[in-house]
Parts: sequence; structure tokens; C-alpha cells
Amino acid sequence: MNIFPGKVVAARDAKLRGADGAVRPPRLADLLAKALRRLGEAGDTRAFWSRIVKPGAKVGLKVNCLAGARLSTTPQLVRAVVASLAEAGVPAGDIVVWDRTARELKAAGLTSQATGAGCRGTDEAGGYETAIASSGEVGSCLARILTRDIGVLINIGVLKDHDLSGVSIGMKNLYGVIHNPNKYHDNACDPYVADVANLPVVRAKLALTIADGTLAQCHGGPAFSPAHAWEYDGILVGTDPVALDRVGCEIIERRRKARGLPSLAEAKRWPKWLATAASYGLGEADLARVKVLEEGDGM
Amino acid sequence: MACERRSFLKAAAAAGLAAAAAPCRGAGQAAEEASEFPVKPARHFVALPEKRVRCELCPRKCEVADRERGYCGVRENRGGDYTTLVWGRACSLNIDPIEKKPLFHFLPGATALSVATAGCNMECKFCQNWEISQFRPEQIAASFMPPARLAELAAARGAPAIAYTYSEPVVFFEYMYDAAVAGNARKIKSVMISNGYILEPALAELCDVLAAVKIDLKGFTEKFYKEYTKGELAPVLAALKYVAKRRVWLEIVVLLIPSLNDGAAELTEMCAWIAGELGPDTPLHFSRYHPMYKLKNIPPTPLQSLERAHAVAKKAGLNYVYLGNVAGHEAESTYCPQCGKAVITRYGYRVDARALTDGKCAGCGAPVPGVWE
Ligand code: SF4
Repeated sequence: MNIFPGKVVAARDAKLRGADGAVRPPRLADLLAKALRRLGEAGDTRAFWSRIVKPGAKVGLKVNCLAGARLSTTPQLVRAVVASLAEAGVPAGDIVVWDRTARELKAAGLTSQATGAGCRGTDEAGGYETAIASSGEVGSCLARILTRDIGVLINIGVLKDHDLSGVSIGMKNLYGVIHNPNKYHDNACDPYVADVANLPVVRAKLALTIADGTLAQCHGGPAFSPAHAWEYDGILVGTDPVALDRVGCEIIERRRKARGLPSLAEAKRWPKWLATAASYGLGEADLARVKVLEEGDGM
Repeated sequence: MACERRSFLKAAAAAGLAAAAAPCRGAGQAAEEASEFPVKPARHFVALPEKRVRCELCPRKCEVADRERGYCGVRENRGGDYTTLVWGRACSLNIDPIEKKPLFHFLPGATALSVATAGCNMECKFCQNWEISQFRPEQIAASFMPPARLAELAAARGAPAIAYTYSEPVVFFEYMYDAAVAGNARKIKSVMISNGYILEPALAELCDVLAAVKIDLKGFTEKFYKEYTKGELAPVLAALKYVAKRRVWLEIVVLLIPSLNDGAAELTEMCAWIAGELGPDTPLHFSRYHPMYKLKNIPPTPLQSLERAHAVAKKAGLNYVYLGNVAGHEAESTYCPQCGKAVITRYGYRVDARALTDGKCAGCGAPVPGVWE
């Protein structure tokens, strides 16, 4: 469901945070709305969402909360997405905020009170299918939330470095839908990240990727590393998961360079899986061919 | 999900172990709360910069960042401290005949309290126990069964051995080691049923406390190991040699898969290696494969293939060669290499060892190597 291939909106707001340093939810909601409208070339977000979520569809927001409260998908961004969907007529009851375990969701502050929608771990919501789904080198049991409960998948990862896969932004976050992610970290996760994204059910249901860059991290991931995290104060939005990750890589690479860190390629973890994913037809991995639409304070 | 197919409760009840079993909460609920199981320090790792660690338990030597797990999925880096998530976390518990492991030269006719946790450091496409070996601990039902309790349970059930089996005990090293120590204190022996994918320092510690080791030799080419197990052959051969050197009782199983690892040249080379490096008295079991997990397009091993392999092994000079998963076959029994008398006859798990007296053939008096008491 790559409706806008090769297009990524990079939206930043230099005034996202208040005097106390905390993200201001109204400004984040506004930034999200601008990004969605820009991506869809739509007059309002309602028009945008109508292309993404068909009436009556159940929506899963796949978050990333491996790193705990300090570097997970933020409740503020999830709340903004839930509210935006609500404005478009998708009731909160039709949305599930989801990751591997209920414990991790809670630890990241992703509660129904904080997000406005139900939050469930795969472990408490049906577990995994008993049959193995195959895609390339990957063979895994898939989370039943994905296979049975939702019709539309919105992937909301974090803009961050990953010590094995290079980056963990959108596509790497999809490891959370398989039961055996630990088996797929060799060779800088190539072709495994691409293979997971190429699972037929993922391809069919993944409608939108959002990278939470309110706090981003250029090194030391996937855990939180205060020395390498920075307030990027932005988000990336796109339906092309490959292009979005490619743009995210660029942001991380620029930050690494500015901090005197070796490039991901020099660190021997350039995400080769981007090119593999492109070869599967999942999206655009060539940055020169990606149309980056800058919103607010730009990329 | 494994809860549905391999119900811990069902297995434990079948073995009369219901008192030891925890309720299976099924796939629809959180499998386990973290607080139910202790998280113990892992052994055999080195700390790296930036809170990373390198696990040195098995040849994979995973380098694991903070908050991540190694390939086996049961060892986790928590802020630079490497931990095991499966100490005492038993997902399968049964009383089995020792012949089921299979160990044929080790307390014939005895039972073993058999225990597993989640996890494996390989991923064999033909894994017969993938519903536990290929899952993370929190994804399957389990019961807290600390080492002392295992030893106590084995003693109470009259089992002279604890077998670490079903999944891959190497990855629950700390639990196995501590349980073996607890068992030894009660004169309960410990046996490891393993893929042998382990580094020598860890294996050396295990050999101090184990009475027997069975290693699955999955093939005899690196190509097969790479393509079908995601492991390597060379470290397994090194482990076999090490166990043989330590004089811990050793038996080998080869699961024969038609067209993949049953070529005459490969088997000839394998058997010559076993005879030469480990000794002709090393028991070798050829076992029948059944389609399973990710290898379902190959039919079960025909009996002729097993018999061919048996002949190759005998020709290589191996004295004790067995066929598995073929109940009633004459190659289930143990024959004296001197006089040919059947010293232990078997039919499935029915065992008659009356022709073995004090570890010697009742016919000619030749010693038969093994652990007989
Ligand atoms: S035991 Fe597990 S974590 Fe350790 S090296 Fe082997 S696969 Fe990796």
C-alpha cells in the first residue's frame, strides 16, 4: 500500500519544546497535521486519512518501546496520531497501540490514558500464529494482532541508530511482528529487514510509516545513550518505507559526521537491506530519487 | 503458542509431575510476568565498550548491545550486565526412558527427569522441537523449577538421572550447571542432550559435573551445517573430541535426511573420523527424520537408507551402531563385538539387559563400555 512512492515529508519545529524543555503536544499535533497534508497533497488531514484508512477498518499503531521511557515512540506523538485519526472518523476503539509486550509498553509510558487508544502487547493479545510465514530468508510466526485484528498497519518507529542494522527507524521496527527477531541480526540484518517488510501480510497492511524524531539518536542504539541522543524535534512521514528509512539514515549520518563519528559504512553497518528492499519493489533506496518534502523548519 | 501444542501441564501430568507444573495461561494472555522468574548473571561473556558484551558460551560469539539479546534469544544485555532469562524457567518437564535421549550405554532401562527451557543457538530447518527451541522464554508457558527442586523431584520419582534436552541446553548453561551440581549432591547423574555447539571453556566446566553427553552430529560438511542448521561443523567436531578426551560418556546421533546428509562418501568420511578421533567404541545412532518445521518437502528417511548408513559405520570399524525411530529393528539392540551376542535387547523403549553382567558380555566376558550403574 505504497500510495506515495518515493516521497517523504521531513517536518521539524524549532519551537516544539516549551521553556521547560518538554515537547508541547499542540505543536507536535500541528506538525503532524502539516506533514500528513503535505504528503497527501490534501487540503485537510481528513482527506489524507481517507486514502489510508477505509471506513470501518481497524488500525494498528506499531510502536517501538525497546529502549524504555527515554527513547521509545513517544506517547505524545501516538496521541497526536490517534487524535488525527479520530478527527477523520476513526474511533479510538478501532485503534490499537501495539508492541511485543505489555510490560514494555507500560515502561515506555504508552498507556491508554497517555495515548487515547488501547495499548496491547502481542503477549496479551493472542500471541503468535502457529503456522510459519515465509519471506526470503525469514520464516516466522506472526503476531495475531497483525494477522487477525487489524486491517491497516501504521508503523511508528524511532529515528535512531542501531548497532547491528545500522539504523532502526521504520522497517527494522517491523521485527516486532515476528516471534524470532534474534535469529535475523547477522550480516547487518541484510536481507532480513527487507524480508520481514516483504511478508505478504505486512506488504498488504502497511499503509504509513512515521519516524518519531522528537528525540533522535545517532550512535549507541538501540538502547538509549544520552551522549548520542539529540533533540531533533521533528518527524518523518511517508508511505514508502524504504525512502523514509533512507532519509532517516541521511539525518543520522549528518549528525554522526557533525559529532566526529565514523559513517555507518565506516562502522561496517550501512543498512544494505535498503537496497535489498528496493530490489523487492518495496520502495526507493536511492536518495537522489527520493522527493524529500520539507515542512516547518525542514530536514 | 507452544502452549497449545506442547502443554507443560499436559506433559507434566502425563509424567505424574502435575505438582511441579504451573498453569498454562495460553497464547491469549501474557505468558509470564518478569517477576515470576529470576534473572541471573550469565557466565562466559566479556564486557565491551559502550555497555556492549560478547557472549563466549558458544561459537557464535554474539556481540550484544544494551537491551538486546543474543541469537539464542535467552541471554540479554541489561545495561552492560549480561543475563540469562531461563535459569529455572522450565518449559518442558517429563520423566522419559533414558533410551529416548537416546543413550544406549548409560543406565539401560533407567528413567531421566527431562527438562528444557526455551531457546537454541542454531536453527535447524528440520527441528523436531521448534515450538520451544525457536521461541523466546516469555513467549511460551513455563514453570519455575530451580535446580534443587529438579534434583529433589528426580529423587522422588526414582529417576537416577536428569537430562537437559528437547531444546538446546547449551543456551541454558547456568541452569544446567547448577542443576547438575544439585543432582550430584543427591547422587543423581546429569546428562546433556546437545548440538555440541559450545566453546571449550564452558564445555570444560560442564564436563566436571556431567556424567554423559549426547551430541547431534547433523551432517559432515560445512555446507550442510550452514544451509540447514545456521551453525558450523568444525566447532562441533572440536566439542566431540573434547568430550571424548575428558572421558565423559559420549554417544552420537545423526538424523539422516534423504539427499541432504546421507551420501555414501559423506557418511564414510564421518564414520572414519569418529572411529579415528573418538574411538571405535563410541556409540553412533542413525535416526529417521520426519518432515518438520521448515523442512517439509522431503519424505521420511527410508529404512534402506538407515541400513546403508549402518553398514558404512560397521565397515568403518565402529562397534556400536544403532538405528533410531524404527521400533523392532535388530539394530536397536547392543551386540558384543567379540562374540556377537545380543547383550542388551531393545524393542522401542523396552529393554532387556540381562545378558550384560557387570558391564561384561554374559557370553564371552568381553567388556562393553558404558556407564552401567
Ligand atoms: S549462547 Fe546465545 S548469546 Fe551466547 S554466543 Fe551463543 S547464540 Fe549468542
